[in-house]
Amino acid sequence: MSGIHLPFALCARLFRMAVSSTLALSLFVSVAAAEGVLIVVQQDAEVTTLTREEAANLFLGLGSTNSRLIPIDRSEQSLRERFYREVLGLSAASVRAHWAKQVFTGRGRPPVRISKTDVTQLLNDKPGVVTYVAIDQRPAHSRVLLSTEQGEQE
Amino acid sequence: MNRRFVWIRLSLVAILLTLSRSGIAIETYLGGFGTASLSCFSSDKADYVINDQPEGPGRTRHCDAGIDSTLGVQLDLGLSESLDFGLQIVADRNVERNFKPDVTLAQLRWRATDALTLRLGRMPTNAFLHAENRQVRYAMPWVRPPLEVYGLVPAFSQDGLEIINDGSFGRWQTEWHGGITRIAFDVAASNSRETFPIEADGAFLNLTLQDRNTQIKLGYGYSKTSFASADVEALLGALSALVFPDGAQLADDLAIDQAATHMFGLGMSHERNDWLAMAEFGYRSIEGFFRDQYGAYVTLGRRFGPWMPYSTLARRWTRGPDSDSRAGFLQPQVDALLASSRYDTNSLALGLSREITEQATLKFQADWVQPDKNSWGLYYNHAPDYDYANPDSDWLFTLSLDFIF
Repeated sequence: MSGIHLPFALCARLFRMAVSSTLALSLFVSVAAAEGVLIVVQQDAEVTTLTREEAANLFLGLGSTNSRLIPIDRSEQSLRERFYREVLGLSAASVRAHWAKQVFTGRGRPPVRISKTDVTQLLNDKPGVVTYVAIDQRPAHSRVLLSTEQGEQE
Repeated sequence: MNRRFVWIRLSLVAILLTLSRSGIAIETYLGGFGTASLSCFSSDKADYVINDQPEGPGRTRHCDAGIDSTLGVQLDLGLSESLDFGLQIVADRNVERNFKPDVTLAQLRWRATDALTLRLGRMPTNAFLHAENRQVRYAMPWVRPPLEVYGLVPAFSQDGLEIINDGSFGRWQTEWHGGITRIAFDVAASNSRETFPIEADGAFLNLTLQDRNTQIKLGYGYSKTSFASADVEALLGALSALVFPDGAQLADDLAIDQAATHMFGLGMSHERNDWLAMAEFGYRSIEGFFRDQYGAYVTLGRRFGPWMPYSTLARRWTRGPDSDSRAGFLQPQVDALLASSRYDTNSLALGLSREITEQATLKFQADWVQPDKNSWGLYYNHAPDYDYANPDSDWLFTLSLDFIF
Protein backbone atom coordinates (compact mmCIF):
# COMPACT_ATOMS: atom_id res chain seq x y z
CA MET A 1 0.00 0.00 0.00
CA SER A 2 2.70 2.42 0.97
CA GLY A 3 4.43 1.70 -2.36
CA ILE A 4 1.31 3.01 -4.12
CA HIS A 5 0.66 5.82 -1.69
CA LEU A 6 4.11 7.39 -1.96
CA PRO A 7 4.11 8.02 -5.75
CA PHE A 8 0.51 9.17 -5.54
CA ALA A 9 1.29 11.63 -2.80
CA LEU A 10 4.33 12.81 -4.71
CA CYS A 11 2.31 13.22 -7.92
CA ALA A 12 -0.44 15.06 -6.05
CA ARG A 13 2.11 17.32 -4.48
CA LEU A 14 3.80 18.01 -7.82
CA PHE A 15 0.43 18.69 -9.39
CA ARG A 16 -0.52 21.13 -6.64
CA MET A 17 2.83 22.84 -7.12
CA ALA A 18 2.31 23.02 -10.88
CA VAL A 19 -1.17 24.46 -10.46
CA SER A 20 -0.14 26.98 -7.88
CA SER A 21 2.90 27.94 -9.96
CA THR A 22 0.76 28.39 -13.04
CA LEU A 23 -1.74 30.43 -11.06
CA ALA A 24 1.03 32.53 -9.61
CA LEU A 25 2.58 32.95 -13.06
CA SER A 26 -0.73 33.89 -14.66
CA LEU A 27 -1.40 36.29 -11.82
CA PHE A 28 2.06 37.78 -12.37
CA VAL A 29 1.44 38.01 -16.12
CA SER A 30 -1.94 39.69 -15.62
CA VAL A 31 -0.36 42.12 -13.14
CA ALA A 32 2.51 42.71 -15.52
CA ALA A 33 0.06 43.32 -18.37
CA ALA A 34 -1.79 45.86 -16.27
CA GLU A 35 1.53 47.52 -15.52
CA GLY A 36 2.15 48.65 -19.08
CA VAL A 37 2.63 52.28 -19.92
CA LEU A 38 1.02 54.49 -22.57
CA ILE A 39 2.82 57.50 -23.98
CA VAL A 40 0.13 60.01 -24.80
CA VAL A 41 -0.36 63.36 -26.46
CA GLN A 42 -3.37 65.57 -27.15
CA GLN A 43 -5.59 63.87 -29.73
CA ASP A 44 -5.29 66.82 -32.16
CA ALA A 45 -1.50 66.88 -32.06
CA GLU A 46 0.41 66.54 -35.33
CA VAL A 47 2.55 63.66 -34.13
CA THR A 48 0.91 60.25 -34.50
CA THR A 49 3.49 57.77 -33.29
CA LEU A 50 6.79 57.44 -31.44
CA THR A 51 9.25 54.61 -31.48
CA ARG A 52 10.87 53.53 -28.24
CA GLU A 53 14.15 55.10 -29.33
CA GLU A 54 12.43 58.41 -30.13
CA ALA A 55 10.61 58.34 -26.81
CA ALA A 56 13.84 57.57 -24.96
CA ASN A 57 15.71 60.36 -26.74
CA LEU A 58 12.88 62.78 -25.99
CA PHE A 59 12.71 61.97 -22.27
CA LEU A 60 16.50 61.82 -21.88
CA GLY A 61 17.05 65.08 -23.78
CA LEU A 62 19.31 63.43 -26.34
CA GLY A 63 19.85 65.07 -29.72
CA SER A 64 17.28 67.25 -31.38
CA THR A 65 14.51 64.66 -31.72
CA ASN A 66 11.52 66.91 -32.16
CA SER A 67 11.68 70.38 -30.71
CA ARG A 68 7.88 70.77 -30.96
CA LEU A 69 7.35 68.04 -28.36
CA ILE A 70 7.60 68.83 -24.66
CA PRO A 71 8.27 65.77 -22.48
CA ILE A 72 6.56 65.84 -19.10
CA ASP A 73 7.57 63.40 -16.37
CA ARG A 74 5.27 62.01 -13.70
CA SER A 75 5.54 62.54 -9.98
CA GLU A 76 4.17 59.10 -9.01
CA GLN A 77 7.31 57.14 -8.20
CA SER A 78 6.12 53.64 -9.14
CA LEU A 79 4.75 54.80 -12.50
CA ARG A 80 7.89 56.80 -13.21
CA GLU A 81 10.18 53.90 -12.42
CA ARG A 82 8.06 51.58 -14.56
CA PHE A 83 8.32 54.01 -17.47
CA TYR A 84 12.09 54.34 -17.08
CA ARG A 85 12.49 50.58 -17.04
CA GLU A 86 10.04 49.68 -19.83
CA VAL A 87 10.73 52.52 -22.26
CA LEU A 88 14.22 53.78 -21.43
CA GLY A 89 15.60 50.45 -20.25
CA LEU A 90 17.21 52.24 -17.30
CA SER A 91 16.87 52.27 -13.55
CA ALA A 92 15.61 55.43 -11.86
CA ALA A 93 19.06 55.97 -10.33
CA SER A 94 20.65 55.84 -13.80
CA VAL A 95 18.18 58.38 -15.14
CA ARG A 96 18.90 60.71 -12.22
CA ALA A 97 22.65 60.38 -12.79
CA HIS A 98 22.11 61.06 -16.50
CA TRP A 99 20.23 64.28 -15.74
CA ALA A 100 22.77 65.43 -13.19
CA LYS A 101 25.37 65.10 -15.94
CA GLN A 102 23.21 66.98 -18.44
CA VAL A 103 22.39 69.81 -16.00
CA PHE A 104 25.92 70.44 -14.78
CA THR A 105 27.41 70.40 -18.28
CA GLY A 106 24.87 72.96 -19.52
CA ARG A 107 23.10 70.55 -21.86
CA GLY A 108 19.62 70.86 -20.45
CA ARG A 109 17.33 70.19 -17.55
CA PRO A 110 15.07 67.23 -16.81
CA PRO A 111 11.40 67.27 -17.76
CA VAL A 112 8.97 68.87 -15.34
CA ARG A 113 6.96 66.41 -13.23
CA ILE A 114 3.21 66.51 -12.90
CA SER A 115 0.75 64.40 -10.94
CA LYS A 116 -2.16 62.33 -12.22
CA THR A 117 -4.66 65.08 -11.54
CA ASP A 118 -2.89 67.52 -13.89
CA VAL A 119 -2.43 65.19 -16.87
CA THR A 120 -5.74 65.73 -18.64
CA GLN A 121 -5.72 69.49 -18.27
CA LEU A 122 -2.12 69.83 -19.42
CA LEU A 123 -2.72 67.65 -22.46
CA ASN A 124 -5.76 69.74 -23.37
CA ASP A 125 -3.96 73.04 -22.84
CA LYS A 126 -0.70 72.28 -24.65
CA PRO A 127 -0.74 70.33 -27.92
CA GLY A 128 3.02 69.63 -27.76
CA VAL A 129 3.00 68.00 -24.35
CA VAL A 130 3.97 64.32 -24.29
CA THR A 131 3.60 62.36 -21.09
CA TYR A 132 2.85 58.84 -19.96
CA VAL A 133 0.12 57.13 -18.00
CA ALA A 134 -0.64 53.67 -16.65
CA ILE A 135 -2.16 51.50 -19.34
CA ASP A 136 -5.61 51.52 -17.76
CA GLN A 137 -5.66 55.27 -17.16
CA ARG A 138 -5.71 56.71 -20.66
CA PRO A 139 -7.00 60.30 -20.44
CA ALA A 140 -10.01 61.36 -22.49
CA HIS A 141 -9.20 63.17 -25.75
CA SER A 142 -5.69 61.79 -25.87
CA ARG A 143 -3.79 59.95 -28.58
CA VAL A 144 -1.55 57.01 -27.77
CA LEU A 145 1.87 57.41 -29.37
CA LEU A 146 3.36 54.27 -27.90
CA SER A 147 2.13 51.42 -25.75
CA THR A 148 4.76 49.29 -24.06
CA GLU A 149 2.51 46.28 -24.66
CA GLN A 150 2.47 46.99 -28.38
CA GLY A 151 6.17 47.63 -28.24
CA GLU A 152 6.74 44.22 -26.68
CA GLN A 153 4.61 42.55 -29.32
CA GLU A 154 6.63 44.24 -32.00
CA MET B 1 44.61 82.86 -11.72
CA ASN B 2 43.38 86.27 -10.56
CA ARG B 3 43.52 87.62 -14.11
CA ARG B 4 41.43 84.68 -15.28
CA PHE B 5 38.84 85.52 -12.62
CA VAL B 6 38.77 89.19 -13.59
CA TRP B 7 37.62 88.80 -17.18
CA ILE B 8 34.97 86.27 -16.18
CA ARG B 9 33.63 88.62 -13.50
CA LEU B 10 33.68 91.55 -15.89
CA SER B 11 31.85 89.54 -18.58
CA LEU B 12 29.21 88.44 -16.10
CA VAL B 13 28.67 91.97 -14.78
CA ALA B 14 28.46 93.34 -18.35
CA ILE B 15 25.90 90.72 -19.35
CA LEU B 16 23.75 91.32 -16.27
CA LEU B 17 23.91 95.11 -16.65
CA THR B 18 23.00 94.96 -20.33
CA LEU B 19 20.09 92.67 -19.64
CA SER B 20 18.79 94.62 -16.67
CA ARG B 21 18.74 97.78 -18.79
CA SER B 22 17.19 96.12 -21.81
CA GLY B 23 14.28 94.77 -19.76
CA ILE B 24 14.70 91.23 -21.13
CA ALA B 25 13.12 88.57 -18.92
CA ILE B 26 15.88 86.23 -17.78
CA GLU B 27 15.12 82.60 -17.09
CA THR B 28 17.30 81.62 -14.15
CA TYR B 29 18.43 78.28 -12.79
CA LEU B 30 20.53 77.91 -9.67
CA GLY B 31 21.71 74.50 -8.54
CA GLY B 32 24.69 72.76 -7.14
CA PHE B 33 26.54 69.59 -6.32
CA GLY B 34 29.03 68.36 -3.80
CA THR B 35 30.86 65.54 -2.12
CA ALA B 36 31.73 65.09 1.55
CA SER B 37 34.41 62.47 1.77
CA LEU B 38 37.02 60.85 3.99
CA SER B 39 39.88 58.69 2.68
CA CYS B 40 42.50 56.66 4.54
CA PHE B 41 45.62 55.33 2.83
CA SER B 42 47.71 52.48 4.22
CA SER B 43 51.07 53.81 2.98
CA ASP B 44 53.34 56.03 5.03
CA LYS B 45 55.81 56.30 2.14
CA ALA B 46 53.75 58.60 -0.13
CA ASP B 47 50.46 60.50 -0.48
CA TYR B 48 47.58 59.41 -2.67
CA VAL B 49 46.51 62.51 -4.60
CA ILE B 50 44.26 63.34 -7.53
CA ASN B 51 45.05 65.71 -10.36
CA ASP B 52 46.89 68.85 -9.20
CA GLN B 53 46.45 68.35 -5.47
CA PRO B 54 49.70 68.81 -3.53
CA GLU B 55 48.87 66.44 -0.67
CA GLY B 56 46.51 63.70 0.34
CA PRO B 57 46.05 60.73 2.64
CA GLY B 58 49.14 58.61 3.30
CA ARG B 59 52.46 60.07 4.32
CA THR B 60 51.21 63.59 5.13
CA ARG B 61 48.32 62.31 7.21
CA HIS B 62 46.85 58.84 7.43
CA CYS B 63 43.25 59.96 6.81
CA ASP B 64 42.26 63.00 4.77
CA ALA B 65 38.93 64.64 4.02
CA GLY B 66 40.26 66.87 1.27
CA ILE B 67 41.01 64.52 -1.60
CA ASP B 68 37.45 64.19 -2.93
CA SER B 69 35.44 66.74 -0.95
CA THR B 70 33.93 69.30 -3.29
CA LEU B 71 31.21 71.92 -3.35
CA GLY B 72 29.97 73.42 -6.61
CA VAL B 73 27.32 75.97 -7.52
CA GLN B 74 25.94 76.54 -10.99
CA LEU B 75 23.96 79.46 -12.33
CA ASP B 76 22.32 79.29 -15.76
CA LEU B 77 20.76 82.38 -17.27
CA GLY B 78 18.44 81.90 -20.23
CA LEU B 79 18.97 85.14 -22.10
CA SER B 80 16.74 84.27 -25.03
CA GLU B 81 15.39 81.14 -26.70
CA SER B 82 18.75 80.55 -28.36
CA LEU B 83 21.23 82.23 -26.02
CA ASP B 84 22.17 81.37 -22.48
CA PHE B 85 25.00 81.91 -20.05
CA GLY B 86 26.32 79.35 -17.59
CA LEU B 87 28.56 79.93 -14.60
CA GLN B 88 29.92 77.21 -12.34
CA ILE B 89 32.08 77.81 -9.30
CA VAL B 90 33.73 74.91 -7.50
CA ALA B 91 35.59 74.75 -4.20
CA ASP B 92 37.90 71.79 -3.79
CA ARG B 93 41.44 71.36 -2.58
CA ASN B 94 43.68 73.22 -4.96
CA VAL B 95 47.38 73.44 -5.64
CA GLU B 96 47.73 76.13 -2.97
CA ARG B 97 46.45 73.71 -0.28
CA ASN B 98 43.20 75.56 0.34
CA PHE B 99 39.59 75.34 -0.81
CA LYS B 100 39.35 78.72 -2.49
CA PRO B 101 36.54 78.60 -5.08
CA ASP B 102 37.52 78.57 -8.73
CA VAL B 103 35.48 79.25 -11.85
CA THR B 104 35.24 75.95 -13.72
CA LEU B 105 32.62 77.01 -16.25
CA ALA B 106 31.71 80.46 -17.57
CA GLN B 107 30.33 80.31 -21.04
CA LEU B 108 27.93 81.85 -23.49
CA ARG B 109 25.99 79.20 -25.40
CA TRP B 110 24.33 80.17 -28.63
CA ARG B 111 22.08 77.59 -30.28
CA ALA B 112 22.38 78.81 -33.86
CA THR B 113 20.16 76.03 -35.23
CA ASP B 114 18.62 72.86 -33.80
CA ALA B 115 21.82 71.07 -34.79
CA LEU B 116 24.50 73.67 -34.17
CA THR B 117 25.60 75.23 -30.87
CA LEU B 118 28.51 77.56 -30.21
CA ARG B 119 30.12 77.83 -26.78
CA LEU B 120 32.45 80.66 -25.90
CA GLY B 121 34.35 81.10 -22.64
CA ARG B 122 35.46 78.62 -20.04
CA MET B 123 34.28 75.09 -20.59
CA PRO B 124 35.14 71.67 -19.19
CA THR B 125 37.81 69.54 -20.81
CA ASN B 126 35.99 66.69 -22.48
CA ALA B 127 38.27 63.96 -23.75
CA PHE B 128 36.67 61.19 -21.66
CA LEU B 129 33.18 59.90 -20.86
CA HIS B 130 32.92 61.66 -17.50
CA ALA B 131 35.48 64.41 -18.13
CA GLU B 132 32.89 67.16 -18.44
CA ASN B 133 31.24 66.25 -15.14
CA ARG B 134 34.23 64.89 -13.31
CA GLN B 135 33.54 67.21 -10.37
CA VAL B 136 29.93 65.98 -10.17
CA ARG B 137 30.59 62.66 -8.46
CA TYR B 138 26.86 62.07 -7.97
CA ALA B 139 26.61 61.46 -11.73
CA MET B 140 29.25 58.72 -11.82
CA PRO B 141 29.37 55.24 -10.34
CA TRP B 142 32.72 55.59 -8.51
CA VAL B 143 33.86 57.81 -5.66
CA ARG B 144 36.23 59.38 -8.22
CA PRO B 145 37.04 58.70 -11.88
CA PRO B 146 39.90 56.21 -12.33
CA LEU B 147 43.12 58.23 -12.14
CA GLU B 148 44.90 55.88 -14.51
CA VAL B 149 42.86 57.40 -17.37
CA TYR B 150 41.46 60.70 -16.08
CA GLY B 151 44.83 61.74 -14.65
CA LEU B 152 46.14 61.95 -18.22
CA VAL B 153 44.30 65.29 -18.45
CA PRO B 154 44.60 66.77 -14.97
CA ALA B 155 42.92 70.08 -15.92
CA PHE B 156 39.18 70.47 -15.34
CA SER B 157 38.55 73.41 -17.62
CA GLN B 158 39.79 75.18 -20.71
CA ASP B 159 39.17 78.58 -22.26
CA GLY B 160 38.20 79.00 -25.88
CA LEU B 161 35.60 78.51 -28.55
CA GLU B 162 33.72 75.29 -29.20
CA ILE B 163 31.29 74.23 -31.92
CA ILE B 164 28.85 71.42 -31.16
CA ASN B 165 26.95 69.61 -33.87
CA ASP B 166 24.02 67.38 -32.93
CA GLY B 167 22.74 64.82 -35.39
CA SER B 168 21.78 61.22 -35.77
CA PHE B 169 23.20 58.15 -37.44
CA GLY B 170 20.84 55.22 -37.54
CA ARG B 171 19.71 54.65 -33.96
CA TRP B 172 22.55 56.74 -32.59
CA GLN B 173 22.44 60.36 -31.55
CA THR B 174 25.73 61.94 -32.58
CA GLU B 175 27.43 64.89 -30.94
CA TRP B 176 30.54 66.39 -32.53
CA HIS B 177 32.61 68.79 -30.45
CA GLY B 178 35.36 70.78 -32.12
CA GLY B 179 37.20 73.75 -30.75
CA ILE B 180 40.30 75.78 -30.09
CA THR B 181 41.29 76.19 -26.48
CA ARG B 182 43.90 77.27 -24.00
CA ILE B 183 44.53 75.30 -20.83
CA ALA B 184 46.53 76.97 -18.05
CA PHE B 185 46.97 75.57 -14.56
CA ASP B 186 49.56 75.08 -11.87
CA VAL B 187 50.95 71.83 -10.51
CA ALA B 188 52.61 71.38 -7.16
CA ALA B 189 56.14 70.11 -6.79
CA SER B 190 56.42 66.94 -4.76
CA ASN B 191 57.74 67.50 -1.22
CA SER B 192 57.73 71.24 -1.75
CA ARG B 193 55.55 74.33 -1.51
CA GLU B 194 56.67 75.32 -5.00
CA THR B 195 54.25 75.27 -7.94
CA PHE B 196 54.87 75.17 -11.68
CA PRO B 197 52.69 76.58 -14.44
CA ILE B 198 51.56 74.38 -17.32
CA GLU B 199 50.10 75.97 -20.44
CA ALA B 200 48.72 74.32 -23.56
CA ASP B 201 47.24 75.94 -26.66
CA GLY B 202 45.54 73.64 -29.09
CA ALA B 203 42.49 72.21 -30.77
CA PHE B 204 40.32 69.16 -30.25
CA LEU B 205 37.70 67.09 -31.98
CA ASN B 206 35.42 64.67 -30.14
CA LEU B 207 32.59 62.45 -31.27
CA THR B 208 29.96 61.00 -28.96
CA LEU B 209 27.53 58.33 -30.11
CA GLN B 210 24.66 57.71 -27.76
CA ASP B 211 21.44 55.82 -27.54
CA ARG B 212 19.34 55.21 -24.47
CA ASN B 213 21.64 52.50 -23.12
CA THR B 214 25.02 52.98 -24.74
CA GLN B 215 27.48 55.81 -25.04
CA ILE B 216 30.64 55.70 -27.12
CA LYS B 217 33.16 58.52 -27.04
CA LEU B 218 36.12 59.11 -29.31
CA GLY B 219 38.35 62.10 -28.74
CA TYR B 220 41.53 63.59 -30.14
CA GLY B 221 43.36 66.73 -29.12
CA TYR B 222 46.53 68.41 -30.28
CA SER B 223 48.30 71.18 -28.43
CA LYS B 224 51.59 72.91 -27.84
CA THR B 225 52.46 72.45 -24.19
CA SER B 226 54.91 74.38 -22.04
CA PHE B 227 56.06 73.34 -18.58
CA ALA B 228 58.45 75.48 -16.58
CA SER B 229 60.39 74.15 -13.61
CA ALA B 230 63.54 75.74 -12.20
CA ASP B 231 65.15 72.33 -11.51
CA VAL B 232 64.48 71.01 -15.01
CA GLU B 233 65.68 74.20 -16.64
CA ALA B 234 68.87 74.13 -14.57
CA LEU B 235 69.56 70.56 -15.69
CA LEU B 236 68.84 71.34 -19.34
CA GLY B 237 71.06 74.41 -19.13
CA ALA B 238 73.88 72.32 -17.67
CA LEU B 239 73.46 69.73 -20.42
CA SER B 240 73.69 72.41 -23.13
CA ALA B 241 76.69 74.10 -21.59
CA LEU B 242 78.74 71.23 -20.19
CA VAL B 243 78.08 68.06 -22.16
CA PHE B 244 79.68 67.73 -25.60
CA PRO B 245 78.91 66.93 -28.33
CA ASP B 246 75.27 65.87 -27.77
CA GLY B 247 74.24 67.88 -24.69
CA ALA B 248 72.47 70.68 -26.53
CA GLN B 249 70.49 68.24 -28.67
CA LEU B 250 69.55 66.15 -25.63
CA ALA B 251 68.45 69.27 -23.72
CA ASP B 252 66.29 70.17 -26.69
CA ASP B 253 64.81 66.67 -26.82
CA LEU B 254 63.97 66.68 -23.10
CA ALA B 255 62.56 70.21 -22.86
CA ILE B 256 58.80 70.77 -22.68
CA ASP B 257 58.59 74.14 -24.33
CA GLN B 258 55.89 74.47 -26.98
CA ALA B 259 56.07 70.67 -27.10
CA ALA B 260 53.77 68.88 -29.52
CA THR B 261 51.15 67.04 -27.46
CA HIS B 262 48.70 64.44 -28.68
CA MET B 263 45.78 63.23 -26.61
CA PHE B 264 43.54 60.37 -27.62
CA GLY B 265 40.60 58.88 -25.77
CA LEU B 266 38.21 56.05 -26.53
CA GLY B 267 35.46 55.02 -24.16
CA MET B 268 32.25 53.05 -23.98
CA SER B 269 29.53 52.83 -21.40
CA HIS B 270 26.59 50.45 -21.54
CA GLU B 271 23.78 50.44 -19.04
CA ARG B 272 20.75 48.26 -19.43
CA ASN B 273 18.21 47.55 -16.74
CA ASP B 274 20.40 46.85 -13.75
CA TRP B 275 23.78 46.24 -15.33
CA LEU B 276 26.52 48.78 -15.96
CA ALA B 277 29.67 48.17 -17.97
CA MET B 278 32.25 50.82 -18.77
CA ALA B 279 35.68 50.81 -20.37
CA GLU B 280 38.02 53.60 -21.43
CA PHE B 281 41.45 53.92 -22.94
CA GLY B 282 43.56 57.05 -23.00
CA TYR B 283 46.87 57.94 -24.61
CA ARG B 284 48.92 61.09 -24.08
CA SER B 285 52.14 61.90 -25.85
CA ILE B 286 54.20 64.98 -24.97
CA GLU B 287 57.49 65.63 -26.72
CA GLY B 288 60.14 65.89 -24.03
CA PHE B 289 60.97 64.03 -20.84
CA PHE B 290 57.33 63.08 -20.14
CA ARG B 291 57.33 60.34 -22.79
CA ASP B 292 54.16 58.46 -23.79
CA GLN B 293 51.56 57.61 -21.18
CA TYR B 294 48.72 55.11 -21.55
CA GLY B 295 45.78 54.44 -19.26
CA ALA B 296 42.86 52.05 -19.33
CA TYR B 297 40.13 50.74 -17.05
CA VAL B 298 37.14 48.44 -17.04
CA THR B 299 34.19 48.87 -14.65
CA LEU B 300 31.35 46.46 -14.01
CA GLY B 301 28.43 47.16 -11.70
CA ARG B 302 24.96 45.92 -10.94
CA ARG B 303 22.08 47.65 -9.24
CA PHE B 304 19.99 45.90 -6.61
CA GLY B 305 17.34 48.48 -5.87
CA PRO B 306 19.13 51.38 -4.19
CA TRP B 307 22.37 49.40 -3.85
CA MET B 308 25.07 49.05 -6.47
CA PRO B 309 28.22 47.00 -5.97
CA TYR B 310 30.87 47.71 -8.58
CA SER B 311 34.41 46.89 -9.43
CA THR B 312 37.06 48.65 -11.51
CA LEU B 313 40.32 47.29 -12.83
CA ALA B 314 42.71 49.99 -14.05
CA ARG B 315 46.23 50.31 -15.37
CA ARG B 316 48.61 53.16 -16.23
CA TRP B 317 51.77 52.51 -18.19
CA THR B 318 54.60 54.41 -19.87
CA ARG B 319 56.57 53.90 -23.04
CA GLY B 320 59.94 55.45 -23.61
CA PRO B 321 63.59 55.17 -22.61
CA ASP B 322 64.60 55.17 -18.94
CA SER B 323 68.07 56.38 -19.76
CA ASP B 324 69.98 58.39 -22.36
CA SER B 325 73.63 57.75 -23.03
CA ARG B 326 74.13 61.21 -24.51
CA ALA B 327 73.98 62.74 -21.04
CA GLY B 328 77.64 62.00 -20.25
CA PHE B 329 78.52 62.71 -16.62
CA LEU B 330 75.01 64.10 -16.06
CA GLN B 331 73.45 60.72 -16.86
CA PRO B 332 72.27 60.06 -13.25
CA GLN B 333 70.42 63.39 -13.25
CA VAL B 334 68.90 62.77 -16.69
CA ASP B 335 67.86 59.24 -15.70
CA ALA B 336 66.21 60.66 -12.56
CA LEU B 337 64.34 63.17 -14.71
CA LEU B 338 63.11 60.42 -17.02
CA ALA B 339 62.14 58.29 -14.04
CA SER B 340 60.15 61.17 -12.53
CA SER B 341 57.40 60.65 -15.08
CA ARG B 342 57.09 56.88 -14.64
CA TYR B 343 53.78 56.42 -12.84
CA ASP B 344 53.07 52.86 -13.98
CA THR B 345 50.57 51.22 -11.70
CA ASN B 346 47.71 48.75 -11.41
CA SER B 347 44.66 49.16 -9.23
CA LEU B 348 41.57 47.23 -8.35
CA ALA B 349 38.64 49.10 -6.85
CA LEU B 350 35.75 47.40 -5.08
CA GLY B 351 32.87 49.68 -4.26
CA LEU B 352 29.35 49.77 -2.95
CA SER B 353 26.97 52.68 -3.39
CA ARG B 354 23.56 53.26 -1.92
CA GLU B 355 21.02 55.88 -2.88
CA ILE B 356 19.87 57.62 0.27
CA THR B 357 17.49 60.04 -1.39
CA GLU B 358 16.86 61.01 -5.01
CA GLN B 359 19.58 63.62 -4.57
CA ALA B 360 22.18 61.88 -2.44
CA THR B 361 24.25 58.73 -2.75
CA LEU B 362 26.55 57.19 -0.15
CA LYS B 363 29.58 55.35 -1.54
CA PHE B 364 32.27 53.19 -0.04
CA GLN B 365 35.26 52.22 -2.17
CA ALA B 366 38.36 50.18 -1.39
CA ASP B 367 41.24 50.62 -3.84
CA TRP B 368 44.08 48.13 -3.92
CA VAL B 369 47.00 49.90 -5.56
CA GLN B 370 50.20 48.29 -6.80
CA PRO B 371 52.78 50.49 -8.54
CA ASP B 372 55.04 48.68 -10.99
CA LYS B 373 58.65 48.01 -10.23
CA ASN B 374 60.73 51.13 -10.98
CA SER B 375 57.73 53.41 -10.71
CA TRP B 376 56.63 56.27 -8.48
CA GLY B 377 53.00 55.20 -8.82
CA LEU B 378 50.30 57.85 -9.01
CA TYR B 379 51.54 59.26 -5.71
CA TYR B 380 53.05 62.47 -4.40
CA ASN B 381 55.37 63.49 -1.58
CA HIS B 382 57.39 60.27 -1.61
CA ALA B 383 59.47 59.57 1.47
CA PRO B 384 63.23 59.11 1.08
CA ASP B 385 62.78 55.40 1.83
CA TYR B 386 60.03 54.88 -0.79
CA ASP B 387 61.14 51.73 -2.58
CA TYR B 388 61.15 52.89 -6.21
CA ALA B 389 62.66 49.61 -7.42
CA ASN B 390 60.05 47.46 -5.73
CA PRO B 391 57.11 49.47 -4.35
CA ASP B 392 54.65 47.98 -1.87
CA SER B 393 50.99 47.47 -2.63
CA ASP B 394 48.63 49.58 -0.52
CA TRP B 395 44.95 50.10 0.24
CA LEU B 396 42.95 53.28 -0.03
CA PHE B 397 39.56 53.31 1.72
CA THR B 398 37.07 56.06 0.92
CA LEU B 399 33.64 56.85 2.29
CA SER B 400 31.85 59.63 0.48
CA LEU B 401 28.47 61.27 0.26
CA ASP B 402 27.67 62.68 -3.18
CA PHE B 403 24.76 65.05 -3.48
CA ILE B 404 23.07 67.54 -5.78
CA PHE B 405 20.74 70.37 -4.92
